[in-house]
Amino acid sequence: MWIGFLIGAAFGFALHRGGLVRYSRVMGTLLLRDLKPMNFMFSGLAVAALLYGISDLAEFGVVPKINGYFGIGHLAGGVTFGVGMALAGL
Amino acid sequence: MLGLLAGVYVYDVFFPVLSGLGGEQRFITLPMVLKVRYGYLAIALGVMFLGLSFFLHRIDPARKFDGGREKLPVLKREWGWLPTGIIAGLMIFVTTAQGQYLSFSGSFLALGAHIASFFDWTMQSVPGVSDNTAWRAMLILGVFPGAFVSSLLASTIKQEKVTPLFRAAFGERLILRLATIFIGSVLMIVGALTGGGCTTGAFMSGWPTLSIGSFAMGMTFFGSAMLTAHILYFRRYRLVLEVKEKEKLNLAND
Repeated sequence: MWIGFLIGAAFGFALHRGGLVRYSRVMGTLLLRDLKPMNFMFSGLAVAALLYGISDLAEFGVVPKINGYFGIGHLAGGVTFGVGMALAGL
Repeated sequence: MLGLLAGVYVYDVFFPVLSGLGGEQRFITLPMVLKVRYGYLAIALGVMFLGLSFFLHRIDPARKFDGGREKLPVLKREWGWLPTGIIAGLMIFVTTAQGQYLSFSGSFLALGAHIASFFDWTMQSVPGVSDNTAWRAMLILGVFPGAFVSSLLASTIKQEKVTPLFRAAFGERLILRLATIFIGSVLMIVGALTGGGCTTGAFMSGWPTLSIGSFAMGMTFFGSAMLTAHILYFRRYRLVLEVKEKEKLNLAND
């Protein structure tokens, strides 16, 4: 359980230290005027994808859980989340 | 944080309606659709997004305002997108290796369930608390001290009440800023739990799994967020770079 805490702490440290909690960065990315948060997210997901890919090919046994697909639920949730994200700038 | 926790309980009240949207979940991934081994596609996605990051870095209009940070010691300055992105990617992988899934919205839901259990209340959306929900609740409880330690080391604890870009766009109105944070946070958590994840869960953790649901959610919320941001800053887009230059925005004042 404490591993979860430490992983969260490392992630929180990276978020703050990378300036991803800054209002001007989040709004800047949504207005396409500051691309750093986008690059942070792209590089983070790229590292995870590369590690998953290597793990699959080398059969390390690390298999990610899959989020389900539920059509209009993504539309309703996505639109709501997006409005909230732009309002809060988080 | 209050807004996010409030959002958890708002979601729980409407859970019977919101969880039924879109019907039965289907666990479809890109490798299933294309009939290609997962590992090859995951590596291709990783290479593509890493390449895209370097390309976007080259054309980033805000990059010129990030100069000067190398004059500060490493623990005082803001770090670049690559080292922080690598830390985040590694944490996503380590979480999966632990048999868990790194998602802030799901973790907030687990935290909400544990808080509810203190009052002998079982939420509709979380049938019961377990070691699994405790792990996830601990994950989100770790995020705040992690960010706090970073802020402490960088001596950026003391911040302006209304961040300079918001002030330039909407005036020095603390109540308005707090209201946007609170309402925005509630909408974010309700939206994330309804649509299958947030920026971390559906995008950063979800896209590497090549889940079609995560692709759908990520594209929808970024489209919606960009549209809303453009409406809020209509004809004032230049403010982002103007305020960055004028106020010399950094970790300590933004």
